Amino acid sequence: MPNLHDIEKRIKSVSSTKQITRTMEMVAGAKVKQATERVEAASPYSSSMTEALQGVAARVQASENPLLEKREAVKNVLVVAVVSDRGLAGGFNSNVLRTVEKMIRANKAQGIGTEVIACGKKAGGFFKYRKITPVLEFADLSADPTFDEAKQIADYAVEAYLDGRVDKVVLMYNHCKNAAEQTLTEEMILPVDTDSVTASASAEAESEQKVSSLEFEPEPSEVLASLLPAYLRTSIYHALIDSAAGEQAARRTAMHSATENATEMVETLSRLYNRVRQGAITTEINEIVGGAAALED
Amino acid sequence: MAKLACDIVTPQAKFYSGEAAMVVVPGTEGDMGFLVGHVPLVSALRDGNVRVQEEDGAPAKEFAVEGGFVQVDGQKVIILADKAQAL
Repeated sequence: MPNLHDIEKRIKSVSSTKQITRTMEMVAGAKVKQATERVEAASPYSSSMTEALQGVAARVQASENPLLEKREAVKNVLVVAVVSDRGLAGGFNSNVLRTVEKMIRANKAQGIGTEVIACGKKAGGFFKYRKITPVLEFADLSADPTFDEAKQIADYAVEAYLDGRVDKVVLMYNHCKNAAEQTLTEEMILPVDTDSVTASASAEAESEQKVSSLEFEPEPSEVLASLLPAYLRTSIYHALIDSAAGEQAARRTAMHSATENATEMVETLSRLYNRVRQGAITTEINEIVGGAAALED
Repeated sequence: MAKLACDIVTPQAKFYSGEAAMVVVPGTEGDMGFLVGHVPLVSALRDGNVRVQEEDGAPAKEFAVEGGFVQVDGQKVIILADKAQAL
């Protein structure tokens, strides 16, 4: 029979944990709203950017810009792993990190080298523990990603791609599908996949004759040369803020179930506490009654 | 007179949205002014000031922009800037 005092202590500790998880849930809930609003605020920019790129890409051959060219042999891959700075968000971080690790291993088996850019403290720690040194590392920004961070990543990716150090750049992040669900997303950002972009653009071009009269200043290829890195920055920034929104949503879900579990545990424990207490009382009464009966005889 | 819809968007948010009689932007090859019915055009911008003249003859609103593009069709001017600041 467990000690009454021990059960009491456990109930206290579980309740105080519950208080913390409930507070975290509410804080994350408030931040989800903020983070999703930021994603929405950024969408006019990225949709205009895509539109502009469509216009240019429809008129330029893929061979005109090295960033559009697909390389036949992929020897080195750059992976941008986007996670958070803080844990306690369920499988949010480990999903991404484990997939990246698996990818690195699969690449190694095929003789493909992999470089990693770690966004978020959790990624830094994870890779350091596995003796993988990220080429770039960002911390303390997952809650509030800046465009400068996206720019640094994009600049590095473009430089490495043009140098031939990497042949493919992949973004790995949690897409915030809705407030309750995050989906792991793998997005190839370099070479820029214009097939999907131009497919819709050419359909538009047929319906709208005026596209052919679109003017460029300077030359289309030069516009493209500055438009593509900008497009890349936008994609990366979008992934960062999307992941930030997903982090808060994941934390809210995780903390919600933690709070529920704690409630359940307190209930079970208090039931046990009462049973033990009642048992002790019953034993005592039995002893008194027995004692009194013994005296009477 | 008909007006142009003018948007200045940054990655963070839609920075400005309004109607303008004329929009002047700092293109890489020189400043460009747009009126309603301008030929569709895409251009890169240099760092500089964008002037949005909301009414004919009225003083123009000025914005400093850094890095970006402008996209014009006859009715609409969209300025995509990395950074923007009202002056």
